[in-house]
Amino acid sequence: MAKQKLLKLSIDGREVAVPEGTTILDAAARLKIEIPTLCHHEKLEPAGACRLCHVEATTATRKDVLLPACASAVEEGMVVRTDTERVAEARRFIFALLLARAPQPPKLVEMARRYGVALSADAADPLCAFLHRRVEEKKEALGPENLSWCILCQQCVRVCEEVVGMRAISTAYRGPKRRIATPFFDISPTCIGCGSCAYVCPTDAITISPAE
Amino acid sequence: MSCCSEQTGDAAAVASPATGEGPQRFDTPEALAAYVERLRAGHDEGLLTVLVSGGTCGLAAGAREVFDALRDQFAEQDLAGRAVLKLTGCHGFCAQEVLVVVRRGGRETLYCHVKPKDVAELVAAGVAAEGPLERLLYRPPEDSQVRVAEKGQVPFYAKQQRRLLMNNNRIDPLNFDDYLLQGGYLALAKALETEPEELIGWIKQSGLRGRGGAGFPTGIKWELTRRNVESAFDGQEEDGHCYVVCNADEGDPGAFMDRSILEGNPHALIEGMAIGAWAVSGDTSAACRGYVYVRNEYPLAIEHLQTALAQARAANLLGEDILGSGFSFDIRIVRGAGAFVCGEETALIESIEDRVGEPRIKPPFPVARGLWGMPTTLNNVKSWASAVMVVDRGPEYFASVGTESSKGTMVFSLVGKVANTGLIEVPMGMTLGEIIEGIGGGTQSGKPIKAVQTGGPSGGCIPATMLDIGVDYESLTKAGTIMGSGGMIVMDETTCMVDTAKYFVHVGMEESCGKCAPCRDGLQHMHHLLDEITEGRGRAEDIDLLERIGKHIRELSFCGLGKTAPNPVLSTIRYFREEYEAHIEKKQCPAGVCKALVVYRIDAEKCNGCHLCFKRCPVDAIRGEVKGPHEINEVECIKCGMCYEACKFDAVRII
Repeated sequence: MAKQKLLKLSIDGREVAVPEGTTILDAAARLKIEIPTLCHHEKLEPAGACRLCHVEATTATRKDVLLPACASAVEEGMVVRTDTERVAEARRFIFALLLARAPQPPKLVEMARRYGVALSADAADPLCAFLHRRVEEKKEALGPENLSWCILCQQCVRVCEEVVGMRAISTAYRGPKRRIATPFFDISPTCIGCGSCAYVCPTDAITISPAE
Repeated sequence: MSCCSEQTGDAAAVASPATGEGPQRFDTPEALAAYVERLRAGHDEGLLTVLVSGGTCGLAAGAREVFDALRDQFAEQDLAGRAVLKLTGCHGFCAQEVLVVVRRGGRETLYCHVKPKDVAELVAAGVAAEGPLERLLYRPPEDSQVRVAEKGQVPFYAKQQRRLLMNNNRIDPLNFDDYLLQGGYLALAKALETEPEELIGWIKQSGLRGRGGAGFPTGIKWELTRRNVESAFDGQEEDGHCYVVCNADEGDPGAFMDRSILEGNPHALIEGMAIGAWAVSGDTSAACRGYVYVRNEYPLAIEHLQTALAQARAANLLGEDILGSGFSFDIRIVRGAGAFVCGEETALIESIEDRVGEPRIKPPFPVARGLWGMPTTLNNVKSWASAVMVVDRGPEYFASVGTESSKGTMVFSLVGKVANTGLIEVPMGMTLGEIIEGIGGGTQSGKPIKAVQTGGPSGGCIPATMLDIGVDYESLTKAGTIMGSGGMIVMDETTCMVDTAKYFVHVGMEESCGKCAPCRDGLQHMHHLLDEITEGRGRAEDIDLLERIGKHIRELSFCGLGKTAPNPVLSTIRYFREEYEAHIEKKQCPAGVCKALVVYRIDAEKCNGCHLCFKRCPVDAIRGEVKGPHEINEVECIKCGMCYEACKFDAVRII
């Protein structure tokens, strides 16, 4: 087999050489540089759905662009920064949006907190205060027990299709109304109860209950 | 010989009434050229021709009834052989439908607002040629005494350059000979005798850029596809495929350019796609197939396209061994199920593949791995039709109008509060002012123009102070909007910019597929903020929040829908910030649109007690006696605006 071409790039000032086709996310992992992700899983094809992994990059043709690290292949001579204020602000924005959708999952709340994001009435960031109000409105309307834990990363849908091969669940509706569903919101006839969806879920939104 | 070309929708109707020959099947380019020559020889350009504008819009206004009445009139007067009657595609002047054009000896007389009862007089005037029927001629709004007979002198048409739309005015879209008579498919014959590389060179040389809105150079797209076809199937004997796809999923509110071309000139699309197919796959081992992705809401367009496809197949202009060249290509129609996001190229491809219409990660771009993973060239209807013009008339002709970076003409649907709503075609670079004032005739109300919106939910609003900018890709982008696929909405003082932004964000939010977080959730929150502002609950920090969320959605979204959806908000904040501030700080809507922020009052000085408002009010909120003063009870008033519209004395005020 022909030897794969290696591409050189720098991430946060550190040089790394990786095979052609490697994503920025995987290249950063070689350097133990953490890039937060919520829809990425090493066993799944990239989805680029949560947009949390954006990094700032300069390539031969583009200067200072934000690129999703999970869905962007490295280029020769690329200069990547994961530590700029622009990247930090992009992450805060995504965390805030996802918390407004699913304010309760402890894993998500903790991860967001590590990146400096928490929705509260007295948050210094007006975006967090605004989204807190929206969560409170939703809580009032639906009851706290009915708030969603799902952030629509689709890892469950993808693992069921790509790894298990069953396609027992899918997305339903579009836009803000989108949700993950079984066919006709009934017990999925193709589900084999393997639990893969619950295993990959980053917010523990899926629970497995014994079949009746 | 029949005088009327009836729209039958019958695919078998390829018999040639014009030359008296049977259905044609062209085995060589020479056979096609010879037939076109015979058609031309038998055609009398000076013959009295009556054309009825019959797009979906015209039919809704009653074009079918007018056409039927004309046909009866033709039969009654036994005009066969002496005159021709056609139901054509849309002539574009929506505000004056039903349009009838009478052509005689090279002169075209335009009749507006024609009704079936008018046709006897109209035909008589046409046959007698004693002068036009005065009362149906175009009347400029500024002077009720003037009548304009010559179509080319009507300001709406005078300042246009109708190149792409030319056939819409001339041919019956279901009559194959009509298209051939205009030199139809000769460009395809020419292309098939040209090396694909050279053909691509022409397209590049013409400067044609994607008419779907993004403006990517079409020639380069074709070239990239061809390179990928060559490298992917190099040395392989079989199973190589590539695709050419037409994006006819025209979804922008108020846009109908692509529909009109599909309805009025469907063969142009077929010919363009066949030329493109040869350019990207000719002389390679890969087979090329075509798809037209058209929204299901366009039934007439689909019907005409189906008929045209059947005609082209029967004539050996599609299918196996086209014109005896050895090249094979055919086109399938796929109907869109009503998702705006499927206008995004990769979502469109997913939809053709029977998957959920959601965008794919790019790269790989469709030119490398598109439909079914194969190299795919995807262009807008206008781009494909433009390619025919480039091949037919040469790249120099195409590029003879336009600007340095944006060549050719652009088709717009000019709508909103403009006097002459319609479908127009102008050279790239014409200023917005010339378009709106010169062609559009200014606002319908006579009030000053406030703004113009281009590019639908992806575009922005440009203020009246900037109407001197020309329509080309770069200038519009610089101004904070986009070319888009050709929607152009004119707004006057009675348009609230916050309300407008809210409307477009609502479209974006509803049509977002929901795959990525910024577009799905960001737009939702922007819409909520705009809702609060228009309801009078806006907060001081809301404008900053809208700008911040908008900027992030633009930068972080997965596909073009999200990347552009905040434009209506960001551009209106940029140019009409004071209007947002009025809503938030003073709780006022300067345009008088946002119901929560306005009150209706009756001006006692102007009210003469006609009592009309009293009768119209659906909630009995108006007090007053005939010939006495009237008043509105502001607690009971639901602000429906009925009294405002009813009052003939401008006594009802929106404050």
